[in-house]
Amino acid sequence: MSAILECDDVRKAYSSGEGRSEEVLHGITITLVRGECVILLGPSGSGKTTLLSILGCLLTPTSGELRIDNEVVNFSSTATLTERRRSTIGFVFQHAQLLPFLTVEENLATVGRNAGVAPAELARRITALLEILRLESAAMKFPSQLSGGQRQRVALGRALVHDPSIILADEPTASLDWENGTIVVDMLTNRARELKAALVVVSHDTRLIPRFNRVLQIESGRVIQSSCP
Amino acid sequence: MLLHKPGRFFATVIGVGIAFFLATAQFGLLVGWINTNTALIRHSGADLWVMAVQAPAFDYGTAIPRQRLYQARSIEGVEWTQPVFMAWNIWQRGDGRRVNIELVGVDRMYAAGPWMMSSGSLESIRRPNTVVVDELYLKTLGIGRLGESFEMIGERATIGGICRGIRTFTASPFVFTSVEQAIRYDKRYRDDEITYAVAGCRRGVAVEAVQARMQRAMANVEVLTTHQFCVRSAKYWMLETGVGITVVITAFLGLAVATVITSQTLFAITHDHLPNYAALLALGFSRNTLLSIVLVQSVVLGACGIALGTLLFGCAAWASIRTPIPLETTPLVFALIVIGSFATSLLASLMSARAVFRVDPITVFR
Repeated sequence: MSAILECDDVRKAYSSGEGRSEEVLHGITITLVRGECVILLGPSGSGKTTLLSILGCLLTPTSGELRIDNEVVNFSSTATLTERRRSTIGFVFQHAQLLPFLTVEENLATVGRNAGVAPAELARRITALLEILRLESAAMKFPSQLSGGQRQRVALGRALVHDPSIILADEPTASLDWENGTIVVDMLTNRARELKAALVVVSHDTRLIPRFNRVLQIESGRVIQSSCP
Repeated sequence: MLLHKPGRFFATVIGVGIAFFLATAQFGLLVGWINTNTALIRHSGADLWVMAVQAPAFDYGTAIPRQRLYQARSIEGVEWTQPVFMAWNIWQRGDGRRVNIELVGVDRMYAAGPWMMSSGSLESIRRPNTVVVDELYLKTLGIGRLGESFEMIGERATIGGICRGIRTFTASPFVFTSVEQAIRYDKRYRDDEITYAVAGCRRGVAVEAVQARMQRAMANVEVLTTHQFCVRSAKYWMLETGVGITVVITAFLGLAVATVITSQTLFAITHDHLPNYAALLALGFSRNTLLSIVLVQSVVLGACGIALGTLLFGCAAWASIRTPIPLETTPLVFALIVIGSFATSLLASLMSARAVFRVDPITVFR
């Protein structure tokens, strides 16, 4: 399998005032291939979210290089970063972050349209996703009319509607019970494998490990373990 | 996004609508007043006005020799001339109360006289001691019916006709009669004096050229075109008296209120949705797209407010048709207010746009 996401000696430092800076990521080097599902584990403050933000082109690393599909990401160009996020990356946030004034279907369609998916193809994809996510009956509902599990499934659909080659999820099960959490993770991993997309899930829940191809353990800004379950 | 909270949306539209109405009503008053204080000049049918030097407005003309009328008639390009008399007088009602009036004397062509009659006849002013008044001021003048007689400084004034649509800007109603009768009513004028000599030019002749010839031929008087005299009268009442400035300031205050209301609401809506904007940025929406959302919201609020304000103004203007205080507008004035309102709506979106430009997509992970 070819590499889709390569992170080479990535460092990130934040200013801690008085001209000093504090490094929170110390030279992270990881490679993800297409269809690979990775769970990123680590205690709070270990740098998981910072790493995820850099992988998602939301945060500029202090040094190091990020390559997506063998192309170096130019962090100095806002337009390039926006384009990367628009077309290549799908996000699932801890709290679904759905647009409350749009229906489920509109939430999905908005992202699809922005990614440039043709209307007919977009309609087909939304129908298929709603079926896979078991949300057909909720298509015309607003987020406030859905349960927490349903909302997170909609967020999942939104991350997948433009067929991204990288899917990044930040604690997608944190606000769900175990049963709904596993449903969401199973859907994520299955869909990532079908799309041959690289999936990175940040989580605290070690019970999810068997559902992934690889476990990355991060601590104090360093990858301390990379293993296959 | 706007209709997500309908209560706030409709409250904003009502606020913007009322503010727009306030602005249009103030400008409407201004247009109405300008129309009012230039109405007799505009409807005179004359091209040129000969008057005492520096006469500030129609209502404040002073005596010029009647000879000027004949001099004006002799100028090349002039087809006709008519005398016009204008002086302040006192009307005594049947109940003894006195009312200040503007007495206008017109000649056989009725230039500067009423142009629309409600009852009676305009020709009645050819009869001795007969006057025509506007229907809007019957109550002010204490008039009950045609043929009723009143008193003007010891002289009898009989109502021979009632005209329509001639408002006064000064709160003193216009009373029309013949020039000769007006001079009899006003003891300050001599028989050989008038206030204005108005002239009509022959078809196809350049009015400005006739004006120049007339001005050269006559000393100690001023010759203005009808348009120039309208502008001078309007300037006097609107600028020199300060009335217009007050109205314009109030109109701009209306627009300022609209700006503040729209700005506050848009900012509140934007602020409420900042996490959504952050999520959209993270999902690959550009800041320009988000900015366009804010601008569209601003335009929608502005458009709905303007529509409501226009409706309110339409109702108010209709209701003011038969009142002494008219609300009027012109397509140009209205278009300028609409453009100004849209501009203020867009201005109001600046604060929200700044908030959107500052939002950090990374906050979606917090």
